[in-house]
Formats: sequence, structure tokens, C-alpha cells
Amino acid sequence: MSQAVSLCTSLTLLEPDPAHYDAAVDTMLEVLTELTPIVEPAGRGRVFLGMDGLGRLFGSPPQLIDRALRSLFRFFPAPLVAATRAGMAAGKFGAWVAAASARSGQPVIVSDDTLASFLARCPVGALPVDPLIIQRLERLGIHTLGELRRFPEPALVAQFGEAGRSALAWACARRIDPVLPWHRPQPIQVSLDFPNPVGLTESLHGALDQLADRALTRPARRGRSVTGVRMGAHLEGGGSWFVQTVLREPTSQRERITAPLRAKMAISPPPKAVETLLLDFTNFGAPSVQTGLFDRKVESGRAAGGYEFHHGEVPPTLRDAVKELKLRLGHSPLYRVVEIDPWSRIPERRHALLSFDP
Amino acid sequence: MSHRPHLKPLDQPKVVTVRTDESGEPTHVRMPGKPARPVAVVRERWRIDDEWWRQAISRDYRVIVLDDGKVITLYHDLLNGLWYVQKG
Repeated sequence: MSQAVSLCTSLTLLEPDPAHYDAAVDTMLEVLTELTPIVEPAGRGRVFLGMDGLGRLFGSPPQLIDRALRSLFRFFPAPLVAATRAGMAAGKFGAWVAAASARSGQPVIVSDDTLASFLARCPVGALPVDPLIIQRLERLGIHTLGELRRFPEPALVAQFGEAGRSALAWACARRIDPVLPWHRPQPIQVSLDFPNPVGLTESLHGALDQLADRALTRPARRGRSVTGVRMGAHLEGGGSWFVQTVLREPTSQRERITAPLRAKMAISPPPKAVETLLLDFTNFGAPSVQTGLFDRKVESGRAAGGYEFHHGEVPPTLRDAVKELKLRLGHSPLYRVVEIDPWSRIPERRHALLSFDP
Repeated sequence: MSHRPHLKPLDQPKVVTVRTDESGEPTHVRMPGKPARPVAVVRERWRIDDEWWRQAISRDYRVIVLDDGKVITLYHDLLNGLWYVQKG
């Protein structure tokens, strides 16, 4: 950066402002939702729209695209919207390739019967698979989807597993992924303004704890555990910063919420002093395990799916169910898988079923 | 009524019908209750010879991919000549 500034003294540096970018994306999604309820964001700056059935309302495919773009002019600068690239095809992969090959102001529309031939010219790099698979394909001399299609499916599956099967299906236009409607749960947001910008980590940690306590006591959160959190800041002199994380387990305990955020902050601290600290609970899980004083509800065995039974920790509901089955049948018909000789070369010797009778 | 816990076997091999070529390599596999499917690729192969001091085991294993993309573990029991499919 210093080299760039020294080479070009009139250079203007713009600080990244991820909070502003995310707000812009949210605005874009809300605007497009007015056109169609089936909107699926796919990373910053890319969005899929489900346009099936809208022809009678808004006209031909070119008119549909034009309407979508014109709706963005209400909120975004004209040069930004004019630079947008759009494509329409059956399925998300076809539409993505069409948009990527389009020019600004010249959307590409691919009909269903020409999709396969359109994709044939596309480079394998467009496939939404592991980049290592793309590398291997190119090393094998396969550079386009048309070349990929010449290979039989079993050969691709043997080389690349299920990803090979998917890649072939996309290349042949056999796989049509529908647009999935976007649902964003209403986040809980709290913020704290500092009278003077704060740069000390300990101060930010203390502020984070306060924000977490406030967010947890919000009536909107009551009864729900938290699974996704995001911490952001408005920085001194402009710009913003954020870190976010998905919690390993749904929780409503402050320490379990703030600890991963502190760890992320240690790895990627705010670049400047903080004027405002923000905390969002972005995703929520099952109802919290905290029970009320007079709450008699007991978690059912079905709700405890994937429960690992340690000695003596069988849920009471399961214990009752086994007792009832034994009364009816004379024995417990349930079994659990136990290890016998897990390293045996003979597969049937590794595990066995042991009757389950707690 | 007392009930003593007991073990049931898991991942037991199942007999299948296999057509082979002149060199003994499987070309078609018919799983129980299903039509025969051609073998597309043999991915892996290994042999087990074990428990000679008890009831000897001698198996020639292969991981094969059928023409529909399904992957199965097949072995040829070298003692009784039958073919089996097995998980694990």
C-alpha cells in the first residue's frame, strides 16, 4: 500500500466498510422480494431469483430482467446498477453461467432446448465443485464441459466420487437446481456507543459482555437458544469491522456466546479504535434448556436424537418405552451397536448388536 | 423374567450371483431380488487369509463400481467358491 501511495500521490484510499456492504445486500434482497418471493442470496453481490410463473404478470424474459434491474435503481447508484450482469436459464448453474458470460446491460437468456449446447462451451472452472477437482480435470486435458460430457458416468464417479456425478449432470444440463427461498430470521441487535473511541481489548471484552447480557434479556430472544452471532464496530474516522461465528452448540449462556467472538477478535482485531460496538444474534436454535420454576415438560427421547448413551444416562422416556415393550413381548427388541474388534481385517468381526435393556 | 444380554452379528456378508470372464474377474453382479448389473470399474482389490488355526478364512476382496454408479464391496470366498457382498 505504501508503494502505491508513493507512486501515485493523488491516490484515494477507501476503508472497507463491511457493515455498509451487508446493509446494501439486505436492501437489495428486500427490493427484489417485491418482484418475486423466491430470492436466494449466493454471496455478496450475487442473487438468484425464481421467475417461474411471472410471465403473465411482467411479460417476456427480457422484460422480467429489465424489471428486476429497474427496481434496483430506486436504491442504488445508476452506474452500479448499469454495471450489473444478468442471466436467465433453467436452474441456478445455467443462470450463473449465463450471467457470467453476459455484458453489462446485455443480459443473456438461454432457452431450455439450447441450454446443453450453451454449457458445452463453458470452461470446467465454472463448475461449483472443489477447486482441486477442477485442477485435476484440467491436468487430464478436460477444459470445457463439452469435453467432460464425453466421459461415462461410472468413470467420473470412480475418479471423483459423487462430485464427478454432479459435475456430469451439470455439464449435460440434466441437473436443474431450483432457487430456494431465502428466509432470514429477525436478528436481535444491540449496540453500545463509547463516549471516546476505545482501542483496548479488555475494554471491548467488557463491553461485549454487557451487550451479550442485554441481548439475552431481550423479550424477542426468550425461549430460544442462540446458534449464530456477529460482532461489529463502527471505527474512528469511518469504516467498519465485524467478525461472526456459528456456535458449536445452541446456547443461552453468555460465556459460550462471547468466548468464540473474543477468540475471533484476537485473530482479527479491529484495525482502529472503536466508536460503537454492535452485537447481533443472527441465528437461533431449539428452545433453550433453561426451564421455568414450575415447568414439568421433560425432553422426549425423539427430541434427543443422536444421544450418546453413556453409562447410566439413558433418558427416562426411553427407559419407560423399553419397559413397556418388555411387558408386551417378553424381552427388549432394541439393540445398539457395540465395538468388538474394530481393527479386525474381517468386517463382520468389528461390530455387533447388543440387546439394549437399561 | 430375567434376560441375559446377547450379541447379534452385524454386517454379515450376503451371497450374490456373479458372472466372471475368462480370467475370473467379475463382469456382472446380481444382488438378491434385483437384476444383474454390469461392473464398470474395479477400484480396489485385496486379499485376506486368516485364522488358519481355527476355521480358515480366505477371501479375495474387491471394491467395484456398477454401471449405475453404485459402489459395493464384493469378495470371492476362495474356500467355497461363492461370491458375497458386504458392508465395511
